[in-house]
Amino acid sequence: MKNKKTIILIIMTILIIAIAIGTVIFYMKGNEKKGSELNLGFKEVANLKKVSTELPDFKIKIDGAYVGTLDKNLLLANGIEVYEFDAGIDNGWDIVTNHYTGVKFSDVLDIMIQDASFTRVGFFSKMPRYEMFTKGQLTDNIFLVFQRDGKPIRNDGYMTLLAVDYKYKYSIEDVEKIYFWDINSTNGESSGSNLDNE
Amino acid sequence: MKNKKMIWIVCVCIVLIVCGLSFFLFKEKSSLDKGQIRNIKETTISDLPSFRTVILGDYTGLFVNTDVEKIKVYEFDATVDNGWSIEKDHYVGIRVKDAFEYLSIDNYSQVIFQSSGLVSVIYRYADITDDTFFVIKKNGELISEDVLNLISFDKDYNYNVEDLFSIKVTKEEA
Repeated sequence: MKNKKTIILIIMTILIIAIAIGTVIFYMKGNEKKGSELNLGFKEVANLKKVSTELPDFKIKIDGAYVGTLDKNLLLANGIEVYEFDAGIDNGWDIVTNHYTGVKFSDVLDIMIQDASFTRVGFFSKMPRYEMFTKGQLTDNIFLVFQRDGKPIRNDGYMTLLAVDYKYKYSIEDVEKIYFWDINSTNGESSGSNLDNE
Repeated sequence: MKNKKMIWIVCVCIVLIVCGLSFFLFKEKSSLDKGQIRNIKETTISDLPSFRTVILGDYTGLFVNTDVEKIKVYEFDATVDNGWSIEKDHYVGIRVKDAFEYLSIDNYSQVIFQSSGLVSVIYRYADITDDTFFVIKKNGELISEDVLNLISFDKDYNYNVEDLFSIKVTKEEA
């Protein structure tokens, strides 16, 4: 009888320990995977929807063929749409799915320079890093985002260029300046642009 | 009385196991602090990527894979914060400082490392430290077949350049 009790006690102890270990592992895994319940493939965008989230205050200097300032007021005055979406990003180690909030860069271009010409556009970060895209490389999946899983990616008051169709190394955090090149026209044939020609 | 003793023993066992487990998990996490290079030692490398990195600006030339034979190669464990997680990997690479010494690039104020994807990162003289590496292998495998990759283990991941295409060097003004 006593032996039976001891065996039950040992089994109970093992069970409690197993549950404790399981809980710790489950909690840690849950923390690691927070924000990535979906498992999208690289370049995939899902659940894209317009939201009424307020844009943060930000300022991006526009330079080159067109000069000016891109800020919250310019976008709001021109009826910019804010989107939320999930995207699968290749960060060089893994393909991770996160939830983003931001604006489509094609919409921003429409507001900034409308149908004025340019051949290349450069995105300069507050960090010593910049990236150039040719006009043809600007796909519909390029966004200026201000939140990843509900938090700023890096610093408050800055937008991050998120190029979903490219590896994350082609995204630029804390965009400080956008530079336009227009090798076809020295005057950047602006037609109704919200920016000034050089 | 005996039962009470038994319960005490069981409770102590549970507490000890949970404490031990927590200590192990905590230790594992704290050993992954970013920006650390560990177990660095000189090594040799036979299977190099067939890279051709263009040197531009105030110094001109080409940096190619046969040059690596004349430069010290290191292997080491290092941690990198990729923006999502802190990853610990085993790398093989060469110090940028050693490569510059071999290329006789000794007087510079700024270097722009440009990737083939047109991402550029600007380094000032002081930014290039002993922790700035051209990495060739990660966990025993070539990172790339035909290019070098730049990682500054002591800096933010925004300083890293994948698929290095060119290095533009600006001399320090006299």
